[in-house]
Amino acid sequence: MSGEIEISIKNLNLWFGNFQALKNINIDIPKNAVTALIGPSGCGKSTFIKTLDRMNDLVDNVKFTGEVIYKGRNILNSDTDVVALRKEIGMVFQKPNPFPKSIFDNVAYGPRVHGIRDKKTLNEIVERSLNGAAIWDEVKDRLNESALRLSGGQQQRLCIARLLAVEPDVLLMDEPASALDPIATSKIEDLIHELKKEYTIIIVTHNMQQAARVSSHTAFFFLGELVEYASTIDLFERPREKKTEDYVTGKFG
Amino acid sequence: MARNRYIRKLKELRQNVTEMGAITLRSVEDVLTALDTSDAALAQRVIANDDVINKFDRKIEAQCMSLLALEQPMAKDLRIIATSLKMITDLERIGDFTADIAEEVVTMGKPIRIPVSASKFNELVTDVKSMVADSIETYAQGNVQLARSFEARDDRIDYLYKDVVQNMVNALAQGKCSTETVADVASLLFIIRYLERIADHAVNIGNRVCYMEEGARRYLK
Amino acid sequence: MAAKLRETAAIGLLWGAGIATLVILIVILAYILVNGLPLISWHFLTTNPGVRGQQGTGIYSTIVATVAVTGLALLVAAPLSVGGAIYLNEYTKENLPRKVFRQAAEVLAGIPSIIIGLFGFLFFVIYLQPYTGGWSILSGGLTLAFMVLPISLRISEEALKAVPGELREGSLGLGATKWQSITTVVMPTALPGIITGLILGAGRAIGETAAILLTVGGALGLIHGLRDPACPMTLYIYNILTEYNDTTTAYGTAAVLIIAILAITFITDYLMNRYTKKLKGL
Repeated sequence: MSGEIEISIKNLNLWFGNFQALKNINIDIPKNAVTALIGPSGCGKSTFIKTLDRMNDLVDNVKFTGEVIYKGRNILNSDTDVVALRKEIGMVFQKPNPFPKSIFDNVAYGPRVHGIRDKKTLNEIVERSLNGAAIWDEVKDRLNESALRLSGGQQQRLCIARLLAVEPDVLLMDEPASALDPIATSKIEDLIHELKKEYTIIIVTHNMQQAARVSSHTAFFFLGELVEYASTIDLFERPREKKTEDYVTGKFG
Repeated sequence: MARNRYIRKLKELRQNVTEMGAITLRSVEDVLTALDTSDAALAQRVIANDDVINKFDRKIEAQCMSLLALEQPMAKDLRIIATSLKMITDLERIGDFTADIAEEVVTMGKPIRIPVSASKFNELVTDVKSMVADSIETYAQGNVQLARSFEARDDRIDYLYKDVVQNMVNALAQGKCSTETVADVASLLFIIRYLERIADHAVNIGNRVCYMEEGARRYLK
Repeated sequence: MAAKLRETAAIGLLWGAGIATLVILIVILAYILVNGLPLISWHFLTTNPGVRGQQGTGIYSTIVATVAVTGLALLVAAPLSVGGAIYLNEYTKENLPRKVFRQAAEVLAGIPSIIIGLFGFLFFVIYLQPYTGGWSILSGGLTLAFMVLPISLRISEEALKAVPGELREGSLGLGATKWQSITTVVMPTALPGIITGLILGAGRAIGETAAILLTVGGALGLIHGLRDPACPMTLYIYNILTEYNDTTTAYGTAAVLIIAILAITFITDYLMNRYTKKLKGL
């Protein structure tokens, strides 16, 4: 962990129609580290990360104010190239969503969409990405099979490989293991530990123990507010806010 | 509030530790009474009571491990359990030292006369007794301020200890003691050593309680 | 107990309804095929009809006419309906223009074919006569397109809706543009549904008679171009029955028509099934 800040969020407020989903969020996301977002359902953590890659734009009636500074620019500006942004900040979803194509075509999708056609290059990228997602050995002999034949855990790692293929800087993970069994979950967590060496990772999880296992920093969201943000050990061993204490000890939520 | 069973279990843990503390304190008080009045029977009871203290130690340890394994405690709950786990070790050691003192009382078998520094010796005894009592109080009440007083008090005990030992050793070296008195002094030297160690463990308890309440590791000594 | 009885009764009625439908279908098919199949021969399919309904001729030119007019209708309707469906489903939100558009399509679907035929007659045959050649395949095909359009638009829209949102999100999340996501992920997934919609539309076009009657002319000769008048199979059946009372040829033509429709349906079904299975990796 280098101590550098990858993304700096300042005074972020967001509304869905009249409902304010995010209230004055201020937080700095460290580079090459895993930051976990915890909190009860509906507290705004998913809305928050979807703001970072502008996926909230897909929802009707969204309004936001504030700044999200990434690489020196405020990505909330209306003149931001959202398509290019999503190449640098990518997202893995709760339910694995492989395309109904072959494993190879899934991983090659990103590069192809960005104009890479050369077969040799694509092959390299696909192998590298599948390796990076710790699934190469399991699928290297069946790259032309449909991705839908993989197990849930494998599909999720495939989705990660798909993301790695476009070489992002930031990986946003929205409850990536919540649909998986414990062993598949462990594999994803091990993968996250590996990936953090090269990528900045932000993970939303409703599983506190998972947040404790994988992250170096944790943010606790409640009712749209950022209640506390600290190093993970501090947040779980000695939280400063009573709400945080009550939440992590399971007294509510 | 959620997790009622768990909250009850935590409460039970604290009560058990406090009870173990009370029993240990009783032993300390009893042995010092036995020392004062040369009550061998009382001393024997103290020795036997060490068993009770040890059993408590094991029972509470098992309770702590169960909570850790099964309830995924966090934050202050976690600190309470960690503190309890370490504190019972300190209490158990205090119990052992108390039994050792009781052994000396039994060995001496007659009322003791403190040849030198008698007032300082008695002051040390009183200080140690009150510090043990207070250490259990700090745990039971979460009283950090009281725990912070231990630093100065332990300094005083250390001073008294060194002074009394020095004086007694000097008396022995200068041949001021009769044969009988030499044996007494030997026992007293052991006893005072045990008392000093008991005080150290009481300070440990104070440290743990500060961590339990505040979450920071700012050690007293 | 009473509940169980009611359930059994309900199941029985439903079964009955299903069987009745099947029976009706089989009866119609059987009647026509039994009467018409004997007439079908290579000669029948490859000879042109003679004038004044002379016996012993074939229906070649009518087959060509049917193919031409349906093909033209599809050619015009497909891009319009698929494009329209994509626009409606992917590029608009659930607001007033979208609802109006959809309602318009529904209304269009409900207009009686004779009225659409009347419109076709007035607009394509009369008004645009210099361009369409008046009574012609062109006029007929364009008119039929109006009938294919609402069906395939609706079904294509449903097919697109059925594509899970996660796939679009996944694609956008990789930095693809909306159009790229549509062409490389959404369309291939929705394709079976879209094709089905087009086939259903084609089915309506093949079987259309009233609109054809008013736009295509009924000339029996083999067409040489789109601006020639022609007589598709449906119109031929109508003509020879009403003008010459030639039930035999009518049955024969009907049999060919039905076999063609059945074949198209089954083949499309089979192909789409295989495609879907391949998509799912099964």
